[in-house]
Amino acid sequence: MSRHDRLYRKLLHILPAHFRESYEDEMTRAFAEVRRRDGASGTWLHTIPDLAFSAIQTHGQALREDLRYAARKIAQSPGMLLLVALTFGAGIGTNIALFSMVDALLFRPLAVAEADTLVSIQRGPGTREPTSYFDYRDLRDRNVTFSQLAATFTFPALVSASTEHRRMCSLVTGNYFVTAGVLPLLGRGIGKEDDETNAAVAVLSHALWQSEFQSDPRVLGRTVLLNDRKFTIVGVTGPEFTGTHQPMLTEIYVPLSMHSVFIPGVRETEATRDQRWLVPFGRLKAGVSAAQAEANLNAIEAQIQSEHPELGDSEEKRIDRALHVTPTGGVRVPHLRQAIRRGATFMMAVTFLLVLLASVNVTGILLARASARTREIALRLSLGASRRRILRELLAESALFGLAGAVAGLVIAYVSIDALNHLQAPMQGAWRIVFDARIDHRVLTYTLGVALLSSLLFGLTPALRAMRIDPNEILKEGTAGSQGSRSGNRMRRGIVVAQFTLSVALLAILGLFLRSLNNLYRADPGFETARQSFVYLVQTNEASTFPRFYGELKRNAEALPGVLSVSLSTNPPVRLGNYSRQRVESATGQSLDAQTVFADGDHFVTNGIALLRGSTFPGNETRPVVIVNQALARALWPGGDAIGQRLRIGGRADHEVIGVAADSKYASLAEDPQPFFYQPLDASRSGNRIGVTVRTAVAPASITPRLANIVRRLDPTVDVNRSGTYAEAIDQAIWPTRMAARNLAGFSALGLILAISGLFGLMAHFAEQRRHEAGLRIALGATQWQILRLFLMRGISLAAWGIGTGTALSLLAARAVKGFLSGVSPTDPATYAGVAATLLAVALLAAWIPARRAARIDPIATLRHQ
Amino acid sequence: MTTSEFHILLSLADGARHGYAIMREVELRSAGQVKLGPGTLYGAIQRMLESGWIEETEDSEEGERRRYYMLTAEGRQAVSEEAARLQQMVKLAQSKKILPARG
Repeated sequence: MSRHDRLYRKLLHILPAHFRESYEDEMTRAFAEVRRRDGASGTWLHTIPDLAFSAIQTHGQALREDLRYAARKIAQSPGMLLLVALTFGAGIGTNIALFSMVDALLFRPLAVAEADTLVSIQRGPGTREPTSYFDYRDLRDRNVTFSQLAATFTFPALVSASTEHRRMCSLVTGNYFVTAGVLPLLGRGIGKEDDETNAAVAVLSHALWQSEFQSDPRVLGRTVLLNDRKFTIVGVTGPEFTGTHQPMLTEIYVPLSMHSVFIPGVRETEATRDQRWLVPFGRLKAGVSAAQAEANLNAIEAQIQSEHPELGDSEEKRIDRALHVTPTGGVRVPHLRQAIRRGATFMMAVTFLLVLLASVNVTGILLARASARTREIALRLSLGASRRRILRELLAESALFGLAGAVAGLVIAYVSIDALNHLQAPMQGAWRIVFDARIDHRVLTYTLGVALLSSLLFGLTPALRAMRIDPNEILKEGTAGSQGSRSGNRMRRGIVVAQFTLSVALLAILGLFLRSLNNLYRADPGFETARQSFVYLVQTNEASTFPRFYGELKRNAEALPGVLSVSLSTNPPVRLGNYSRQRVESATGQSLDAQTVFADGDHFVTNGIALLRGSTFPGNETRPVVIVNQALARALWPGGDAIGQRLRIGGRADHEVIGVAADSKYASLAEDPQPFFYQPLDASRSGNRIGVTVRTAVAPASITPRLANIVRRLDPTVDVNRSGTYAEAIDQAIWPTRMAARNLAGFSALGLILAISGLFGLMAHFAEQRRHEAGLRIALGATQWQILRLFLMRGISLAAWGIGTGTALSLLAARAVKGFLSGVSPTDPATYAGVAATLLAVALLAAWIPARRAARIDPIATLRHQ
Repeated sequence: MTTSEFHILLSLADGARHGYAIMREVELRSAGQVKLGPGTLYGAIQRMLESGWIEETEDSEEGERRRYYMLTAEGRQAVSEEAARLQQMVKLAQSKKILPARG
């Protein structure tokens, strides 16, 4: 045999074993004969493709045979198929549903032409700052890397058609629709000439067209009121385009030049490049990468800075003004994407725990099945079946089980996706989250991948165990492996431990979330929430008219029946996280950053904030005064009295401290006390935003619309930016945590059911195997109680192992969830103790029933049976 | 029936052959147009053994035992049906003036 022939014989190993074993001699001989006739090189040239082709064909055939055989086997036990499909389906179903949501929010390209060449442009270190109009114009006109560069500003506007609601409205540059590559369903998009001529035209979203105009095909030319101003409808977008503020739905588009109707004050300040309000996005020229475009834009930015020395040229400023180009697969808002990605990653991790738990359960079921088939396999082995063949059949079986589970999972996902699509955050009325989660080819591919990987996970253990079967021993012994399955028992014990480990992780996450939700609900915000209602306004008039308007507003509100007191402030306390920050300094030179608000003298009584010392603002301040909170007083004048002290604000004049107010929450309900101070509201200087809070003796919800009515009656041009009761606003603030906790509660309940069912099965199996032992012990004089205790202890010691491992692993991984919790440590001992106690109780219950059965065994019958 | 199967069955029409002899016969009869590699050949042989179109005999040649394959009645039936089908196709092609009608 020449070395060519030997090489060919080696290469034959790519063929399936049973085929190769039958024909390798003949094939090698045929190869040798051809080679002798045609020469080595020509033969090889012909043989390599031949071998590759026949490898594919014979393997395919072998796989088909394995699958057919496996399917026949599975069909013999439909009950087990159902059990596996449901167990695994429950685990994978939630995972699929969540993936489809994540896919819709983050990965699926937007419904715009060639989404991959659309990029978002953001400014600043946090990649979340918009840019000024002048900056946008320079970037648009000077760049060489974009074929189009558009910009938009999205905000809630009052839209009046057949109903009147606040809806998200996008101010768009004239090239917005061209840049996005979106063709309207009816009419046209906002065009260049609209933007240049300040045309009062609007393009409706498909949703708005349906709800407000009943999908009227003759809607073009009709008018819609936006903040009481008439706009002519010139187009309607298709249903698939939901705007560029995803996942928020944009409902109406108007030219950017109409901004003065909606955003007062921009006109005065637009000369400054620090008025950052536009979100630019662009379409890259062919062959240009996002990095090249970013370099190009930053070069222009450097030019702008050199042309405008008033911008300053500190290093800080440069970092602050740096531009970032993000390929978003369309135009989505990057900082929203970041927030979503964070939450989604977390939830995906939790559902993967579920998939793991389900897989571990299925492993248990398949192990039981394999041990029941030990004799059959031993028989086949002794009749000459190859181990490899049996391994392949078993793996094919678990792949089919996995696919059955995937199908069940898809059904579960299909049902839950509908619920996911209706998730609606109760944010400011106008904001509506839209995403279209659905089962498409991407989700199917994902499902198939997870199902096959998991089936390998749960199929491998039983299959490998079957590989170690010694046919002689099994067949000689005559019983289905009652003694010979020591390794099987070890695996089963391993599975129980794994189940408990995973359950601890799931329950610990849920426990921590529930505790932090509870903390949020119970957290004392430091102001009253039960009897308050508020409106938050944006003024559109000249600043000189503010004092009269605010005065009338307050008087009218005070006259409402049921209103106890009214206060004005630049930010009502319930709008958490909206205060401005200033540097303050004590007379001794100590300084710190504190949040602040301008408020009138009724602020404390109306909001139920206790004034601990001193008095409130008199209302006719003749000298600069200030009220500080406890935290600020403690920080600047520890141990002393704050009243009468001087506080220097922002490096300007000294203010006298005339009161100390109790600490309350300012940025979030979960925060520790923060330094804060109150300045007297001066309507002529306070800016165009004002909050009105009322404290009522009647239901606050009944007052809210009346407050809004007063505003409209006094001045219809004033924008009611937000309104509601304090209780509603608090509810909205904790919505994300509440929703996460609700989902997690579902996941954990499912996880617990999986753990319990798996545990019951395994415990029963153990007890069944130990019948003989129990019988023997009873025959030797053990009492029922001793047997019961023996069996219980076995179950509990396994559970204890699992709980111990799970707790240790969870504590190690706990830091990952820290950012999602409030007021509770990720290693909170009470939570872990509670989880351990719950699971121990479950283990006790699961061990109890089989243990009792074992204790009642009739020893005579058991021993005779042997 | 694949082309290689058809060729292999035809090559067995006048008696049992071993693997290499089949390859040579097919190559010869097709004037070098069809060259079967060992992989294709034995893949087809395995399938046709399972369908019962051919059967295996053993014989010795120059003192070495080799596997010979011969047509079964079913195999003969199958290859003649396939030939008839191909003849029908040729007639169709001729009636459409794709092929010139010969004799």
